[in-house]
Amino acid sequence: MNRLTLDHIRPCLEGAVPGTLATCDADGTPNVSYVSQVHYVDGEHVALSFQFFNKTRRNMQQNPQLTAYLIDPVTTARYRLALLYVRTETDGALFENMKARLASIASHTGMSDVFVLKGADVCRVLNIETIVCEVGPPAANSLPWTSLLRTLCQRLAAQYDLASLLETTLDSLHELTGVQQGMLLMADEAGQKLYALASMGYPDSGVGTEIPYDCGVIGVAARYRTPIRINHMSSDYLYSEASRCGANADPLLETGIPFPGLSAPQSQLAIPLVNGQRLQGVLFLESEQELAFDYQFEDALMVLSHQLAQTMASLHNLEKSLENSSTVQPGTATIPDPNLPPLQVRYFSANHSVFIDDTYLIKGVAGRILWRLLNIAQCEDRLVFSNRELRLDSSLGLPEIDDNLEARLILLRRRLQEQCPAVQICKSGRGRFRLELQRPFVLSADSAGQG
Amino acid sequence: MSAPTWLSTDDAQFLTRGLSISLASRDLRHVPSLTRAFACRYSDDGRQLILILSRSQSSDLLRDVAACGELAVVVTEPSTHRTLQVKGSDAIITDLVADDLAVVDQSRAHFGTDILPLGFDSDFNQRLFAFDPGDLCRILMTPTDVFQQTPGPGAGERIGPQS
Repeated sequence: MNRLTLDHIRPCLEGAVPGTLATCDADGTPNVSYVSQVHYVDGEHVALSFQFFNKTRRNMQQNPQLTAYLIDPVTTARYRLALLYVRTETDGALFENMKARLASIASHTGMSDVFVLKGADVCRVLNIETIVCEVGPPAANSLPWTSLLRTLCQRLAAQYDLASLLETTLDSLHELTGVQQGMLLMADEAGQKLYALASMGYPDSGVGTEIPYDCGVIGVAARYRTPIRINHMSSDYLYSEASRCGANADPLLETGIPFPGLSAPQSQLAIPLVNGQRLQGVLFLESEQELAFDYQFEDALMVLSHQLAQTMASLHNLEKSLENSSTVQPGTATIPDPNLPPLQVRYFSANHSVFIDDTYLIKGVAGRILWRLLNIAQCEDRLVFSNRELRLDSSLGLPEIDDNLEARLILLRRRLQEQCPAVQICKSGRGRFRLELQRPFVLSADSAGQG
Repeated sequence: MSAPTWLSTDDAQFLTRGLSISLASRDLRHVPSLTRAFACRYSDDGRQLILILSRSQSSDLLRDVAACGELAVVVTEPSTHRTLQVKGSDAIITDLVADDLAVVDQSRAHFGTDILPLGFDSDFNQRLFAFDPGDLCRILMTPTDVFQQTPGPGAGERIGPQS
């Protein structure tokens, strides 16, 4: 018979029913306390939420042998765990992961002012004893994740560029899991913030909105490269409560495009997309329902995230390697109608922001690119461009490695589609695109903005 | 049955109301043992706390109590987090007496009412309290320490026994 492991009792580790913990001091006096969170670390370790300096805490330092009692919140199966206290973590991925979960539990139980995580007490699981077998109903039907992952991975592998990859990911998650709201965000080159490139289920797409690292579940997932999942609304992690998080610290943070997320989400899940050592971005899902994302959902999306991050990197490399050899697809350039009033395009070099007819469009790298394209169009009467020439254009100042150019062009294309249909960017081959202009335009820039 | 004199009337009523009850002891090498009890009541003279629990679900703890007599009892009200811990060193194990099952029934009913608003229905409660009456036993203990253990300021404060 297989030995019972933590993987068999994951429902007990969701925080729905508090665990109890027995310790013993040096004099042999036992002690019992409740522990809000017995957190799954890996198949052989749990972490206990350390919230208070108390007798339990002192006992653990004197005698690392602990016993925990857990109840399955659905079946009422009961288990006793023999634990050995190993260490306490007070920062890093595990700590942040538990901090978010505890904030969610505290909010749900009206203990937000009392339950504050001081540390994650990591314990080795020496033995799991079944006290009472499952006597209740079987656990609620979970999604058939193995076959869903197979389908998802097949669909991702069939994508040929970044835009279709992002769109397929969100569409497929919606179709196969029923999740309604979500977005995909890319990490910026400096590793300080993320920008949304695709979304679903919101009145406004929010493409271009930026989230600083450390802000909300998305920013924490990015900073610590760990999944963050909360199943009850917690004001600590609400973007609406965060006063735009680091807006004061970073004057270049995109604040002109509001975060599109739910105003009162009950469940949120942020999954880091990591390829090798590099954070590519974050997949973010949310719901107006409590308990929308269980541990199986998180586990499955962590598996998917590796495929997604690898595919993003592969497509980026493919794009760069093929952009010199590809041919331009034939297409008829749209000639601006001279009878229509010209678009007034204004550029501010301080933050590279672009306004068209006094409406804000974009800033940062994408703003710089658009300004450059329009200047070339005006000076050279040319509407066809290659990614390669942008990469080599020193005036754009793109980093030589990991320039994220494809992502910036997707962002620019989406913003133009939503805000300025008279100017469009159309792909005309791998690594090539053209500007479609329906109206003439007039450029004006502040003194430092001549491109 | 006399009311206990070693803690306030309110706390005395709280302990036996029918809440979540956990017990800990330890073996000769100070490895803690842990189980749950179904009900808590007082001895006729009010001087001892009596816990009613399943033998088959508590074999380690019963072995340890028999060996050392050390016992820690935590009683908590899930809906409010109000918690008390009682400790003693003279715990002994005995068989049930006639009206113990009625006490367990009262405890089950009250506990079910308390956890219902938290999303745990009566089926959950019935399963949690499922037992074979022949499997139950009681532990008697004279309290030597009572601690307030509700999370927040004052947690860990010793509040008894009162003289």
